[in-house]
Order: sequence, then C-alpha cells, then structure tokens
Amino acid sequence: MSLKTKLALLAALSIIAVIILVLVSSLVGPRAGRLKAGFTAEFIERPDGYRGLAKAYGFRFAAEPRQMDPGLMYKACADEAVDVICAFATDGRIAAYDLVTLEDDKEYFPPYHAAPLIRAETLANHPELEDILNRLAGKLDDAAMRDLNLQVDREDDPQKAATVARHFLVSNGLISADAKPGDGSAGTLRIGGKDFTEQSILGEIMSGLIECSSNIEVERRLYLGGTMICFNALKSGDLDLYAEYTGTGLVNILHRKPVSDPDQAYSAVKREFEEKWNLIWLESFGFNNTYTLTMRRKHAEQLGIRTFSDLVAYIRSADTK
Amino acid sequence: MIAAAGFFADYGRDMLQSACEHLVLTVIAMVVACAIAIPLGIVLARCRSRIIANVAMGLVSIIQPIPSLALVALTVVLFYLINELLGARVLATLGTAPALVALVAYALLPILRNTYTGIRQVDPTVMEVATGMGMTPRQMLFSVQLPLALPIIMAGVRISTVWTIGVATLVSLVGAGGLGDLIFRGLSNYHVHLILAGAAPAAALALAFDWLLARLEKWLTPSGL
Repeated sequence: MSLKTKLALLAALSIIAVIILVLVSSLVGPRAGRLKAGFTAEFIERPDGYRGLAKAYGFRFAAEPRQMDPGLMYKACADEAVDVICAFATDGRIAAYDLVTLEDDKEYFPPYHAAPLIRAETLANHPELEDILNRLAGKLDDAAMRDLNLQVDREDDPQKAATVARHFLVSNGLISADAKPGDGSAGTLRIGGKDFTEQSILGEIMSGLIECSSNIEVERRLYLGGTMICFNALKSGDLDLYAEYTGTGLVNILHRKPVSDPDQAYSAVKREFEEKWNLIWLESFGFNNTYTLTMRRKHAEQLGIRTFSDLVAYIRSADTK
Repeated sequence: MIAAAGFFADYGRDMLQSACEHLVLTVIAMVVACAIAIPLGIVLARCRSRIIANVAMGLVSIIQPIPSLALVALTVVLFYLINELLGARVLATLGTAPALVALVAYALLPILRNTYTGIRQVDPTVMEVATGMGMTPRQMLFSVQLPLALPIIMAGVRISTVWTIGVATLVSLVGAGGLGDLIFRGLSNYHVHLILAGAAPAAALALAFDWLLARLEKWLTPSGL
C-alpha cells in the first residue's frame, strides 16, 4: 500500500469513527419528555445530596444528572439546557430567571442555617471575636440574603462581594460609613469560604466587621473548592473561621440523620463539633439556605409539578411510557 | 480488597460512563484538529509567501498561551455572546459543543507547527532530485515530503493527544462530563478514591493513545525509510 492509500484509508476510518461516536452518544442521551437534571459536583456526592434524596423519595433520573459549576446551573436551567437543578434556596437568581423551587413535602432536607464556625483556639486568643461576630446574629433573613446574593450575581451591573458586604454592614449600623480597618497589631485571622457567591459575601461581611471593630488583620481565603476543603482546613488550623450551615454540619460532616427542627439541628452540631474537634458554632445569621430542587416556573406549571413527590410521580410515569 | 470491590460496586457505572464520555470528547476533538491542522500545515509549508505562513502560524499561536481552563470558560462566554448577537439560542452554551470547540482550538498548534516544520525541513537537494526525476508537485508531496516529515508530524499529533486528554478533565465544569466529573466530585467532598477513579483512567487513556499512535506511525512509514 502506498502512503496515499493508507492516508485515505485512515481518513475514512476516522470519519466513520466520529460518526459512530456521535450517533451512539446521541442515542444514550435522555429521550424526549424525560427530565434532565443539572447538579453540582458536591451535591451529587454528599450524603444529604442526590444519593440520600433519591433513596428517601425512591427515584432516579433516567439519565445521570449532568455535573456543573454551582454558578452555571441557574442559567443552564433558564436556558433549557437542563430541567431540574439543586438550587440554593437563598440564591437571588431563582427569582431573577423566573425559576420555582419545589416543595420538599417529605421534609428530607434538614434546615441549613448559616453561622460562623470558629476554632476554639482562635477564640481563646481573641476573646473579643465572639462578641463581634454575634452582632451579626439574626441580622439576615432569607429575603435579605437573597437580595445580597442577587446584587453580586445579577447580569446587569453586578457588584463585588466586598462592596455588597460593606454596604450591608454600614446600612445595618454595624460599622460607620467611614470605618477603616485597624492597624493589624492584634495578629492575623484567616477567614475561608466555599466556591459560591453567598459564601464570599458572608466571608467579606465577617472580615469587614472584624477588621473595622478590632486591630485584627484578616486574610481572606474565599472561593475554596467545597465544604470538606473548608472544614478540613479549619480542623487542621489552616483557617480560623468560615460560615457553615447546620444541616451540612449535621449530615455531611457528622454523618447524622437529618432532623427537621432548626434548634435541634443547631444544638446537635454545636455540642458535637466542640466535643470532637474543638470547633465552636457562634450564633446563626438567621437565614436558612436549604438545597432545593428547582425548575423553570412555566415548565413546572405545564407538567403540574409543585412538590418533590409530584416530580417523582412524573419521572415514574415518563419511564413507563 | 473488599473495600475496593465496594467502591467499584458504587462507582463502577459512573467510572465507565465518564471514561466513555472522555473517550468520545478526545477522539472527536483530535480527528477534527488533525483534519484542520495537517492540511493547513502542508498548504502553508508549500506556500511561496512566507508572510502568509507566518501570519497564520501567529494567529494559531495566540491560542496556546491561554490557560486551558480559561479557554474553556471563554468558549462558553463566546457562544453566549454569539447567541445574544443573533438574538436566538443557536449554540448550546453548556455541555459538549463548547467543550469540543475549546479542545480542538487547544489541540491545533502542536500539529500545525510540526506539520509545517516537518515539510519545510525536507532537504532541498532531495526535492531537486525528485523534480529532476519528473515528479509532479502532488507526487512530490506523497512520495517525498510526507514520508520524510511523518515522524515530526506524528510527534505533534501525539503531544496534542496527551494534552487533549488532560484538558478534557476540565470541561466537566461546563457540564460536558468526562473523567473530570469524578475528579471534581472527589475534590469537593475530600474523597481521595474518587479523585483517583478519575485520574487513573485518564492517565491510562493517555498511555494507550500514545502507544496506538506510535503503532500507527510505524504502519504509515513506507518500507525503506
């Protein structure tokens, strides 16, 4: 065979291979009428995520959920690239993109109230921190947090998390409008945050409040790769403080069964985290950022889906069709 | 052993699916990249005007210094902007389409540059002899230039393939699947086995492709060279 023949053969084979691959992968994809899910990497794997939810409600999506970055899933749902996402209840984009959160009618998800989680050692070195951070207690309800998140995530005129945080602190009278950071003579504090907007805002709020109310210098380590990265860094002393959610602490970190009572969840994590790891839960900011399955409003109405159970029933009926 | 068996029972399906997605992404991206870069490299190398060749190579070279993660992100944004411009949803901003465009763009340069260099470095005296024997430019390409440039072209293809397999782990972030799914899931949950379950097949895939391409090169080389 000459080189020319071999090359022609190779080209033909490659084209056939590509056509076969494209055909096969389009056949494997979900058929019409079936719902496509888009979840974050963390949600797919967490004990209180897709696995636990699928077990509690007894269902499975026909196609494996598509995995994507938390920031992308709202737009992906609005643009009909996926139909169901694991939205965070306090994300401003749910309302902005006209999405609707479904009701967790079997109360699978525990409450996820956010609170500062701090090392006992750090608190012993800087006892004033407890008082400073507890000034934030109850200052943010669901609507307020959603509003702050949207200010950062909106498509037109998005704000920096630091700007939004500063404005929040000033307008709530927590710091004065001309407050400046202290001189840093009291040492450095490392504040962490996970890889989504709300965590950056909470990180900036805590950082700004501490900087302007003490002489502690703050090193921000926001946008870390997820819950276990933050938690393990805190445990090993690479972080001093970050905002954690009670449900996440209870189910994802302690591997306890979900409870539906917020106070019970809070006191359980508070007790166990201190006993086990010498980590202290300070007072909650007030809002509950639960995971929630979310769809396009029109799509959900059209399919008559209002609760998680409706969704499961729809998936089952589509499967048997 | 029991732990390993349990792990595969839990994640075997995911691993298989991710590996298949990874394979599909890599093969399609590489075939398309070769189909663009090799002919283009040949045309540029045989082109009399050096300026055109330099401009074309320069344009493709701009892509390479962009970090691969940024290139994936830029493709998504580019698709989004095109949609906005056209006022309709023409391109999928999520999933396989933007991922493939980014992978192809990233695979182009090594193949293009090696094809161009490979053809250009053929000894001019050999070409003179070929012309003297009465070969047409077409015969010259397939009987002299390509066989002599083959090792260099294939080296480019092999480098590109290994890169593409690596970069394809990143497109998980834009919903294109692949072994990156397992790696990112492992990272966000501190699950070492999951990270390995994504990384080890990716490495194995790279080795397997490299070996296959080496065999291919051997098969393509005319006897006597």
